[in-house]
Amino acid sequence: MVVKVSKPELNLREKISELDKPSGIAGEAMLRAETVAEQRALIGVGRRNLVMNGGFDVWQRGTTVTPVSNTYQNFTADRWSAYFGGTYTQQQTTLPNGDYVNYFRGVLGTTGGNRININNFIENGNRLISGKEVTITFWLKTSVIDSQINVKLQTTNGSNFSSYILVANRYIESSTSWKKYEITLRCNDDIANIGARPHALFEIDGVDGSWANGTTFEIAQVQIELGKVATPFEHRSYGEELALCQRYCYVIGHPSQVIYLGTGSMYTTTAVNLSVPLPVQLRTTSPSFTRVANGTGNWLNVYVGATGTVSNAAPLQGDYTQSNMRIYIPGAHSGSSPSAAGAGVWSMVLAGAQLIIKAEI
Amino acid sequence: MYSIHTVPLSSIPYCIICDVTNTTIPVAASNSDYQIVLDDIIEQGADCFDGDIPEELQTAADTKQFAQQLSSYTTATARLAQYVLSVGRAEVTESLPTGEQVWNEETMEMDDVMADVVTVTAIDALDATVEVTTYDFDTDTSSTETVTNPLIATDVSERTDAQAIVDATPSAVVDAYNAL
Repeated sequence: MVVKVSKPELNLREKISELDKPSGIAGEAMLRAETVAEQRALIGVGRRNLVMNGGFDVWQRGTTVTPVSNTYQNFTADRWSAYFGGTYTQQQTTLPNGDYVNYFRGVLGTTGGNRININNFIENGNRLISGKEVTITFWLKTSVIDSQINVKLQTTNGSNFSSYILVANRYIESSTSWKKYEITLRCNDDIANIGARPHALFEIDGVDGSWANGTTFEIAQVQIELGKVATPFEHRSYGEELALCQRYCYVIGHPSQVIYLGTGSMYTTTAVNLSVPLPVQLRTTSPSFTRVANGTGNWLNVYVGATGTVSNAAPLQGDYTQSNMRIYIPGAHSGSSPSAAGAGVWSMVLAGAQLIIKAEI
Repeated sequence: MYSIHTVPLSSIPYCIICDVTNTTIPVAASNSDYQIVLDDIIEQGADCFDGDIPEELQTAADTKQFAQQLSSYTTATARLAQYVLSVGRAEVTESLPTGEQVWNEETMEMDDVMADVVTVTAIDALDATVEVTTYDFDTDTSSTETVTNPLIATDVSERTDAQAIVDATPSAVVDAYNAL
């Protein structure tokens, strides 16, 4: 049996011309990419910024921090430490590209090597950057012109620097107006020492150590990404950035409001056990506690029933779960009635005071 | 000043309180404040503690100091092992097997073919001084002065610093280095 099938006419010339679509170099690169992963890398999609709080949105310790000594422990904006004593504040401005942003402003106020020096630790960053190309982008403005600044990537064991090594760096010149820097570096491979130096440290460090007191530097939109292409700054929501930062530091307190701390019970008539919930799992099970008293010299108010005792008692770590801590505070209550061992308590951090739970690298 | 405080019924034996920063510090190597406590014990000894330093804290501080000294000694020794720029480096030649072998009729065995190979190349000493020419735009004149070669000056300075570290290193650290 013979079956006749009719088909519409096909204009081959037209079909071929349709294939001749205009495509730029980037489009051709996309077409040439062998894998989806390669295409993702080309257009820089997904999570790119290795720096937490690169937009300087989160300042749990307060939007003005004034360390007096010179140490890498001077944490200012969350995840950022400033080595030299001074005044570090969160400010806002419109950058030359039109972005209205929060930025980090430092005013130097110390002696001995005085210069810009800010640091951001990247947890387990060694394995991310070792032997890789990395692109660093940021906006910077200083009150000194043409001063050399060393932009460095190191691998390190942490902020006590008992083991560290420089894996890449580039010198830049400071500018008195906002300037965007895009730096691509190939990092040395330090994977062999990942046990001793698991983390990465991004450091912006002045070369001339004689910047005068009062010298200012301002920095915004810091981004470190793998690869040799600088992509636009990755914006994350405040809530997301805050949660990322709270793995390393959780501050309970408010400049003008009383903040609820937790409930618990009296261990003795004067010592209390408090259960304090944690918003995220901390980096370490052994954080430090720093109590910051308010103007009255106290930070804590512990209530037994309706009777509260205000004190500056030192909190000690009892035990830890991923979402909760037992904090033991001797001397948190006066011991007067109705306090008694086993009595239920609830507690507040006083207005203007803070409890800083620190698990920084 | 640091002091020791215990927590009843806790898996944590004690905490350290710093009354300067109002910080309570756990005894945990991963905690950066704890590392500062060890640094202060290394630097200030018992003066930074209210009462006696617990034995395990002192041991941890001693261990950290030993590791720091060993690291510094290793770096300093490596620096001193580099050739002196003002002296240069002599060529070293060694007789090494080429990989070929020939039959030895007398011993009735295969023998390696040897060849002289330069294993360390010679480097000439740097000039002790260099001439620096300065041009004065105001007077449109230039002047030349002879100064110590800055590369040699840096080399001497770094070697002096390295030698000072080596000289100050305790013998126990040197023994540990030699045993590596």
